[in-house]
Amino acid sequence: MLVFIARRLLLLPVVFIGVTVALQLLMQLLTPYQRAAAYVQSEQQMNRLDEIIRLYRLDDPWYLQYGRWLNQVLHGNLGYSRMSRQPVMQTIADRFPATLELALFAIVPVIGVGIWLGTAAALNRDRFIDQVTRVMSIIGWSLPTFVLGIWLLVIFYGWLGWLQPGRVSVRYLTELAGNPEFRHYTRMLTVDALLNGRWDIFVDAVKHLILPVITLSVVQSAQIMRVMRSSLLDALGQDYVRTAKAKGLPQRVVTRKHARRNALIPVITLAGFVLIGLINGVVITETIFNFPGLGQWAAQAATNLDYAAVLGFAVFTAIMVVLANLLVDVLYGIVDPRIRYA
Amino acid sequence: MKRSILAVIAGALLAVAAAQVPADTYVYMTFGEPVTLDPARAYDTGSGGILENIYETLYTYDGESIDVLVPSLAVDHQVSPDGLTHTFKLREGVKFHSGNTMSCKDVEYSFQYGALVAHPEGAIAYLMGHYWLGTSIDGSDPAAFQAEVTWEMIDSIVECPDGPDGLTVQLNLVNPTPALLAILAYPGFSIIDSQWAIEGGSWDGTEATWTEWIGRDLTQEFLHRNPSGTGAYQLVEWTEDSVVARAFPDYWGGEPAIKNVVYQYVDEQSTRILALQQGDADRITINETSALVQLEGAPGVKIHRNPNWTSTSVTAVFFNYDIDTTNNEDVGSGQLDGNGIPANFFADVNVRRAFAHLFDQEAFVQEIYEGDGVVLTMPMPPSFLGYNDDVAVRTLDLEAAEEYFRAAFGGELWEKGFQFTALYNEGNTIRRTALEIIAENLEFINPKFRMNVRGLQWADYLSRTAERKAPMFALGWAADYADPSNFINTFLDNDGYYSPRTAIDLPEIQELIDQADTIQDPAERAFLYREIGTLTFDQVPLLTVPMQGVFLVTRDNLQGVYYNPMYSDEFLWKDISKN
Repeated sequence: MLVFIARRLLLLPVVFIGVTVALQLLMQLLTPYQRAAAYVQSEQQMNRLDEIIRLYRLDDPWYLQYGRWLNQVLHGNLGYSRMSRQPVMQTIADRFPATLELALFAIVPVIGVGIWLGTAAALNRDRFIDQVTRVMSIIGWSLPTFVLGIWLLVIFYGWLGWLQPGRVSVRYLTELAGNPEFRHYTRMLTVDALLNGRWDIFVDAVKHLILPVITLSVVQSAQIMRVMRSSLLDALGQDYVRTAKAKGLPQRVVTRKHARRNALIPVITLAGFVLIGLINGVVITETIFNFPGLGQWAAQAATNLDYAAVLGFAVFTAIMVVLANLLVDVLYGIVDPRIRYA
Repeated sequence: MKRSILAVIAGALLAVAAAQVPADTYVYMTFGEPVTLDPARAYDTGSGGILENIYETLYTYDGESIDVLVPSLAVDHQVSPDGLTHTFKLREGVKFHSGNTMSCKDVEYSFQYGALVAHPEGAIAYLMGHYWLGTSIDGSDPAAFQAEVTWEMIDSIVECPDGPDGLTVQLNLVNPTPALLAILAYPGFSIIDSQWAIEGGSWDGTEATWTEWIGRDLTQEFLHRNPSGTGAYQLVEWTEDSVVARAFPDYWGGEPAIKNVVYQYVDEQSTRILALQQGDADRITINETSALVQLEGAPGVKIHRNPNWTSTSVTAVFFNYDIDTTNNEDVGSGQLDGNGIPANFFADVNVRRAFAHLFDQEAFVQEIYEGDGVVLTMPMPPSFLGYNDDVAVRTLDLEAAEEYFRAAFGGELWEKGFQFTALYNEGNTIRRTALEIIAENLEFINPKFRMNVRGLQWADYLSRTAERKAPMFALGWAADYADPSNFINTFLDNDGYYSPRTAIDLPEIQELIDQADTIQDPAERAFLYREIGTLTFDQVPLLTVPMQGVFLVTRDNLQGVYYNPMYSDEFLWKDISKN
């Protein structure tokens, strides 16, 4: 197992070089002028394209630009993000906790609801509950995130005034700003609030998480539900399930222990990808609810040709994908002992 | 048990309805974070909106007024007869946020630092380089910069006759400018806390290290995120989605009513609108007039409008007086043969006059701005010195247009016809609409006349106009400082900022521009600019697009709101309060 993990981790540098070189080459499709124009915010700066190209050496050959960047990275510096106005490392350090917090709050309902409804649908095939969950999953999956998000905002914020967008209320924002007494242990606000014994801030932070979590749950759990349903139906038709039933085992044990466990394999694969998606930031959800996570930043960086940010984010994503795949593979072994790694 | 815990949590979550902003806190929801808080590098409204409240300049604007400059960190200003030596007396006992006391050495440090960094993306080299160094060269190529600028030149910009800790500042120019106080009111010329900057690792203020700072990327340096100014507010925190500032207790002008200021950067407009309606924001930014419908008459919301408020951004349709016709698809054949236009097409004044009669500013205000806009008689904001209101405006008149087209190129143009393509940057609907109106009206004149309109991506647009290949294009300018030269020289000077794109060279106008540059007396300058206005009617150097009306959207309990277009965020935080 350890050998397997080590071998997987050795893949990281290969993925790292592959992804960043590919991105570097992609950016070369734009002329230095086009890349410099991304720096020009107003007419005031439009006569300085040549100076900007010279200043940031945008007309160097791609391998020189890449070499400079790689050299920086080897010295532990991912460069400076123009969009976040600070170093890329600092930006990831600042924004990742918000994204992780949202992902952790969302992943439980996403997977839980998906598995629960998928199981219920499969066990009640073609009955009322199955029809309802199928319709729900189609609606959930096809409902654009921004439509659902704005509806939720209009209802729960605009009409009822119960829940707010953002990460924390203004009065706590001003209280916490520059306050040395509130220690930021994890930079995840809910966790830090509890560690500082501030129940009021914890409640406020959770309130801000509810709407984005609902949005993500509706959209993301739909696909898990579909996969769970079909996978469980498949498992229920297998010989070993019939054998288990013939042995006289109770229905509960047959479905829970025998069928569902095997049916989980494709769900775990999918859940791994869902988790990667959540951890890398969910652009639309973060934008609508004004949640300062990685997705918001990465989207802005891409549209503004923020070179260092795009490369830095790609490196981060690559690491996350490799690690999540590793996690999924390890989980396979736990769920299904037949899958062994030498 | 489980149920009751859930019920308690649910109750706690729902009990507190959305909290309103406290009375001593001002929340502004907008988009566009500051690029930097270093005055030497900032050149965007996002940065300006914060800088103008935490830093101060020698002179500043008086409330809503843009042509009256009042003492801020300086209390007095004397100028030598040749306009080259300016002596300022500084305010006594002004404290920086760090606790240091302001004196001449801080002014010296601030101006020298800005001048030697000369960042190509900042404003300083462009706005003051010519006046205090004799060159507008920027620091993107340090070797080229050092070939033109020596340490002695940097060192002599500011002198402290009463010593570094004295309050007398002598500013030495090499070229005079009547607009000096207005230029120095720009946030780029904020007074930096020199001791704080040096201790924090910024330029140490000496000759030994000055070359290391030429063109340096300031966004990775100390002052980028660590400002210490003299302003009424000090920065508390600048995070990924907000800026928090607090009233500075030792502010020389007294403590302001608003104690906390929060800028929240919210890209999604519908989220901002909901926040304003819920009272979670005191002011929001609205991109288009059309979105105002949702807020008109909403409880607790106030839309501030005033017919006297005009922006300081001017949009115009520019003519290219000397088009590069080689391999240029936008000029067709590049000849006067009916299938294109020659390089000097717009150099013929009759062509320009004819085009002016294809555009109707008044109709544009009514149709496009829904009645809320201002017709311009000349290419600068009406609030600026020397704006000539008495000049007639050419309006839509197809007969007049025909007459001028018949007179152009000795009648040859009318016989042969022409075609070309006008350009705008994609996404800018105002510019596109202005060009399309002209193109449509042109069709009525002569079936042999044809003008196409084409949108380009920003990058291609910039390079195509810079190569002087765009025959006609729409662009604009937002004021850096409140002086007519900022527009007239930019647009009409044969050596101005737009000249590489337009090759403009109109001798009669040029003479007046050059004259206005060398005199100090405001009344005489106003006269010259009014004359330029008169010539604008006759010469039609470009076509001005009317200005759009201005509005601000706030909660109705926000007091003291005013509109000064020279401020990035229209008013200063210290001037407002809430009841």
